Amino acid sequence: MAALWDGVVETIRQAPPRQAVIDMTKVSRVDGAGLAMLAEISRIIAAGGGTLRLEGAPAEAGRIVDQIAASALPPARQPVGAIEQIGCGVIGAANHLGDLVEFTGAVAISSRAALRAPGSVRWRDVLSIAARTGFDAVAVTCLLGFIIGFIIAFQTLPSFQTYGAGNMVAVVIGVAMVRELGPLITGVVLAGRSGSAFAAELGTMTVTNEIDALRTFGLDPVRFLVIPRMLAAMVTTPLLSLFCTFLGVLGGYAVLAGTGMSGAYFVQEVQSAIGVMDLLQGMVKAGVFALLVAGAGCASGLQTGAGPGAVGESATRAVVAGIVLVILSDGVMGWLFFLMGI
Amino acid sequence: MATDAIITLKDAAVGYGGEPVLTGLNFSVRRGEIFVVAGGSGCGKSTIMRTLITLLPPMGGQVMLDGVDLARATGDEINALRRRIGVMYQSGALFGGLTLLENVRLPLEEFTALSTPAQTAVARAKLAVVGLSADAEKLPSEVSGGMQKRAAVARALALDAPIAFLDEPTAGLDPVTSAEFDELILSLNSLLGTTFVVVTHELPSIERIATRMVICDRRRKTAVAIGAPRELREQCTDPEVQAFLNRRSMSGAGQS
Repeated sequence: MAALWDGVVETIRQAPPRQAVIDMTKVSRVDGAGLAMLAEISRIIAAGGGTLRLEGAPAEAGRIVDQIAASALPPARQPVGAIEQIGCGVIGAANHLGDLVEFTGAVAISSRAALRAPGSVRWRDVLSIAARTGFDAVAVTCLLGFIIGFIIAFQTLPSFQTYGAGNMVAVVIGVAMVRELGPLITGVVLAGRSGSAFAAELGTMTVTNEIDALRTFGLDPVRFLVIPRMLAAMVTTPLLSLFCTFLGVLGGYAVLAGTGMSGAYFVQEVQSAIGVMDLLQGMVKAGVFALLVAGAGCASGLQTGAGPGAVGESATRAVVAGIVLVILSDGVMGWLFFLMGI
Repeated sequence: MATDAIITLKDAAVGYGGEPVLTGLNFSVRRGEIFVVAGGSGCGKSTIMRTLITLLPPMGGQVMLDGVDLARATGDEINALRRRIGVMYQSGALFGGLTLLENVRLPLEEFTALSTPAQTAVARAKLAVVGLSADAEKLPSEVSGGMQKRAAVARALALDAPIAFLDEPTAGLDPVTSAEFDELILSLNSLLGTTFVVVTHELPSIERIATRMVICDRRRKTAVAIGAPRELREQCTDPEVQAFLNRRSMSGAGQS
């Protein structure tokens, strides 16, 4: 077919005849590619002002060839230029920002309503979501905390020992885990586990019209779905962060115990560097991370488009936005706490 | 009061993203009737429905739904109106994490002062009406597509809404299940007096249930006929209407 197409069609294209007859009396069947070739020939001849006649072809074949030849092909899609791409990107980002502002407003309104009438919050949902985002995440968060505490102690110990200050590692571990790494690790785990789950759940509900169904019931999806998820995350994340911090410090001690440091001395060293305010600071950070990750996950889920890839895209967006927000807000809060002298 | 209009469209335009899909819509739905919105694929039937169930604002003209002008209504008025309409989506759109019973009970929990046992009793009664008593404790994923649609109708009628909107209720159902579903709509209509607005293009279904119908046309971007199905088939001379009601192709001779 390829050889026939190139040979016949190209020959006709180079010198389109005024009148052409294709003898089809001996043709018993014709397939789609054959019809397309006949239509192409007919089109080329018609463009040159000539006519094509199919001799002895069944009426149906002639009709289909005419139909294909007469169908106006839309102009091929032009590749999108760089400037156009930038423009689309800017418009997309602006729309996204608008949606985000709208979402934040809706969350604020629903939060106020929830504060005024705590009975309107779906506490049963909060509980079951808290079990999933909190309890189910204890093991992985603790494991990561322990390993990271262990690694930091292991990596820093030789340097400190060079100056004869091996016991200072206890202080380093205490400060790093309590003020920084405990909440941060928990925040990242939350973004990966729950942020994506929230986006996928709400995204699937968007695709299957469940969100529309809520709206036409007169039920606000933000009050119904977003607020319980945010509440659940904000209750469980500071607790998870505490676990993670504790296990991280324990991981550090696992290394220091090898150097012969006693448990009592380790605790004393950590206590000398860490106060209640430091612990509170870590928990406040964890709460803020929870708010941002749950918000980003739910917003991304509610903005899910159509098509088979949409839910996956939403989940990806939720994780990326969650991790970026956790680290950004960690920096901002670290700076604020520094200014406040905490 | 059997013939007063519960939905009225005057020179209405519907669409989304700034593009009108249908314009110049003039028809009304009478209280207590089964009104079918019909037309070929992509003609804008679902856009009319999304406008009527308040998910899309009308793009022009006037759309009155149970005394509320949809273009001018405030958020609170729209919310109040939403409690007076029931909607069954094509996919059923049941909440996947809740059992059929919990799905039907949800609107009762949110909008009534009934005690929990009373809510459960009402929800069970609604499921019994659609023939799903035995499956009340199953999750939507554990029942067939036809049963999901039945449960969705029960949920749509949970608050005894005077108007129920059904989007393609028999699409994807086998002929027997489809006929049973039509029977269900007819019996709910006569039993509860609910006004039904049904979006469908399934002719057998239209013939069984429709009191009156409107046919939309994609090329002319408007409604091309309004009336009882039999009346339209016998009296309407519009070629598109005849093609639709007699299952004829529009390509070839009848092309306008």
